[in-house]
Amino acid sequence: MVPSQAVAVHDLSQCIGASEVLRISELVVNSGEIVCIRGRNGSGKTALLRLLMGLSRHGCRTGEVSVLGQDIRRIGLSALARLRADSIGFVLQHFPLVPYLSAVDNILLPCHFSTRRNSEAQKRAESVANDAFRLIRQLSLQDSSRLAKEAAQYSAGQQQRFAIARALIGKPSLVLADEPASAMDSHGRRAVYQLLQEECRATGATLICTSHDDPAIDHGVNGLEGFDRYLDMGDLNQAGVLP
Amino acid sequence: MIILKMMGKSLGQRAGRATLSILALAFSFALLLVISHIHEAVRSYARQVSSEAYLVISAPTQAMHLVLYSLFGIGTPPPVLPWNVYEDIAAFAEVEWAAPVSTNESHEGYTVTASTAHYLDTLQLRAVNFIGSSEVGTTFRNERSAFIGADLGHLYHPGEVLPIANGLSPLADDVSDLAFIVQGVLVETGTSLDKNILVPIDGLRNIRRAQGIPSDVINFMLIKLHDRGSLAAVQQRLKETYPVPLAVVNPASELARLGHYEQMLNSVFMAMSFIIGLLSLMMIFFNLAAAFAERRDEVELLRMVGARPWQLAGLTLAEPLLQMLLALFGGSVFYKLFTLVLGNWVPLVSRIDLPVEKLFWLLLLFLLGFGLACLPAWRMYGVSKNT
Repeated sequence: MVPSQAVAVHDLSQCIGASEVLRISELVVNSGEIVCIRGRNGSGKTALLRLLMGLSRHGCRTGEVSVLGQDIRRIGLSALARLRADSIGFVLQHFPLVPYLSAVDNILLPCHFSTRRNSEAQKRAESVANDAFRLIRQLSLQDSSRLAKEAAQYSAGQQQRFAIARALIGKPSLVLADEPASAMDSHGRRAVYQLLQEECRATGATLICTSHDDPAIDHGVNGLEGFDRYLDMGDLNQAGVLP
Repeated sequence: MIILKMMGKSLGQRAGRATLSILALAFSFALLLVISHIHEAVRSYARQVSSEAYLVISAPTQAMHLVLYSLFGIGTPPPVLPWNVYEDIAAFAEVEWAAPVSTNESHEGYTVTASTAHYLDTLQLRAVNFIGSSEVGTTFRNERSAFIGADLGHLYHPGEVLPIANGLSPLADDVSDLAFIVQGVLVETGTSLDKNILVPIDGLRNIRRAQGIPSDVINFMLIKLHDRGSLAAVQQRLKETYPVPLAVVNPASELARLGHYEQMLNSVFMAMSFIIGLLSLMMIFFNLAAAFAERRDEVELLRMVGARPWQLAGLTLAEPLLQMLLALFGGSVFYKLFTLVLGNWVPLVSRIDLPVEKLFWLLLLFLLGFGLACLPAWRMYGVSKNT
């Protein structure tokens, strides 16, 4: 059963070493919701997404963090690996792809580690490779025949698009995208945000996307419109603010 | 499957350094095998030869000199003995057979070694027969037949006559009208015998008589006794009570002394090869350790797509294991090539197969490599558990 809340954070205090990087009293994102978290550089957007992915859970001092109904602070290693493989698609701002694998192999990676995502991708386009090509076409990549090149040989923008296709393949329940369009021109940005939103709406997935652009002054240039909710990381994260 | 693919691709990223490490390790594996092989071949040959010839007897000379010359063709011939000494000793009740060997004649500067079939069998000489039989063997067809050494094969034709002369630098008058006929060519031995002409000693003595050479001498004789138990008694009797002064040498005990030095040399070479192997393994280890820091982001990414810590540790372990397996394969190929080339030069090398127990050092090196490879894999497991 899909939990009604995809992400629930209560009274969280997260530290890296001695410094507190996140202090969030409450953050709830409902299942199927499409949310954009904006904020300036260093406001804690990446730290929050890393925590939701279970990458920095040992730095939590207090609070509760629930992702797709699982307590991310107490979940076992094996269950965390299963949760990530089956249910979470992600786009990292830096190091989007494994550099020595081809673009296609990178996109198909989650299908190798999750039978659920493998069968979902097959259901959708007869084969996982077809689903990968479908996603690539939607990302305004014209020549999908040249995907056998090593990932490191593509431009930063193209690598980010492949990372987005990898995040979306196999219908994950939650997609976490850390500034997914940061290395793209305005046309590419619009295509990326549009694809992320369309795919997540079509599959009922929850999308949490971060950006340092301000939607209020974006005027449609960067494609940041269309999200269900916009959150300001400055308001959300009280770390460093005196009580 | 994807793990294997990633391992191959990841290794491909460091192809240059990995190839160097693999080659160095393969070279060390091959050296270990070749040195063990040569050691085993020499020991096996020495064992076989000394099991046939219980005693070597000549006029007084150094024991080691006599053994090296009589069995390996190394050095200069010992001083001569009269033929009747040979006949007298061969008639001892304890003697099963005695093989007289003479190297006092020559043909165009090449030494003529005269003996019997026992001598050829003891030294495991084989020949390709041109005349009399198409088989491989060293039976003289008659007392005028001769086998030429492998290095002389291109100089003489089958059926060609070989007049011989007394001494190694004869005058024209010393050359006999009577000659031997080339019957076949000896298979290469890697010793000075390859430049010798082997003839039956009966035929040589007939030529000596026909030419009027008064001295009927030999250089040494090989003796096999009916019972090895009587060896010490016969040796003592010949040394102490025989009327003519003799060098009476037990080749087995002399070869054992020689074997001690050979063993020391072998150990030094083995240690050097082992150290090369260890250095190659360290190179693989440090390459992995250096790549480890570069791969933190990759580990994080793979953890995010669902890779388990044991899968990432396996990936880290599989890379050096694959390198070691490739080195083992390469080392085996090098070893086969080495022994093939060396076998043409020193044929006794190609007469044995390396015994399985000689692979101990190779196994030890492999296990050490496995142990070293486990360290970064264990570290990877720890790192990925915390992501």
